[in-house]
Amino acid sequence: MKISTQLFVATLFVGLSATAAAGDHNYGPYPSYYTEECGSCHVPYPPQRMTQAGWETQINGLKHHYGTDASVDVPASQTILSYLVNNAGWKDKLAPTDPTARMTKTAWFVKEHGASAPKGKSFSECTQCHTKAAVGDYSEQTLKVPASWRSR
Amino acid sequence: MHLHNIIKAVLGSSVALLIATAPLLAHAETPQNFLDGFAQEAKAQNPAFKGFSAKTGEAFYKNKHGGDWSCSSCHTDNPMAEGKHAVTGKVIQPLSPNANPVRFTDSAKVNKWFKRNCNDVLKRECTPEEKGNLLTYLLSVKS
Repeated sequence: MKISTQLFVATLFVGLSATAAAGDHNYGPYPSYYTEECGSCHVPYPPQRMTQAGWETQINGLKHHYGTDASVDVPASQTILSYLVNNAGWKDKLAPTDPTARMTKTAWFVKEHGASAPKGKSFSECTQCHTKAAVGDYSEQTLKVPASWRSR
Repeated sequence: MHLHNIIKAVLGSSVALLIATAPLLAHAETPQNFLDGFAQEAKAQNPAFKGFSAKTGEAFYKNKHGGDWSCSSCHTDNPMAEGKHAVTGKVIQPLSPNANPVRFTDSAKVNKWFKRNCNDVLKRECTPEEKGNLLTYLLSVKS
């Protein structure tokens, strides 16, 4: 009985994972080279949440990446850009709106999160609220908004 | 099977195994390998170079060098401890090989991060002497 319950739960889980698609706020798993190169200083951002133009700007500007040198050698940066472009979004609201293509300035991001982070905090700290952001899970179930972020 | 055939077979497979693992062995680097390399480069640049200093390395690690950040801004004052990225808050595994054995075992990573982080902190590349002093300090910290 116990085993069959476990089996059922396991099957259900596999079934749910297999149907993971746009709309469930799940963008992982990311390729290991992406997590390795673009997930050392911040969580790896979901490629689906910005357009091709945005990702091209990002990858071409890694030498001056928001105050830090985030340069990646050429074969790796090409691999990463291909991955980003192949999975990029296309809707207008996902297009970059500033010269450095900050995802946090795109129309969808501002609509979902507001225009500025609470004082002393940064929108790049995704895991403050999206507790499983590191693996691309931005679902409601894993969302935990601290009280200090709510009072705005 | 004659004994010499068995010996031949065993020897043959050992040689094959050695050949197969040689590239892996060549890539396994240790912090000491990096210290030796930095010392060689430092000597080539400055014949008066006498050796690395943990104390100088510690001062270098904690100094902001005229900018906004020091190494310790993200790696904390204790390189044995977990760090936290100054902007994004992302957890950074300890920098000292004494706390985190994967540190300073891969030259591609070592080169990449020195290049980036020296640019972040000093707005230039680090010298071999600075890298050696820093690593000597990291290896001297025990707790």
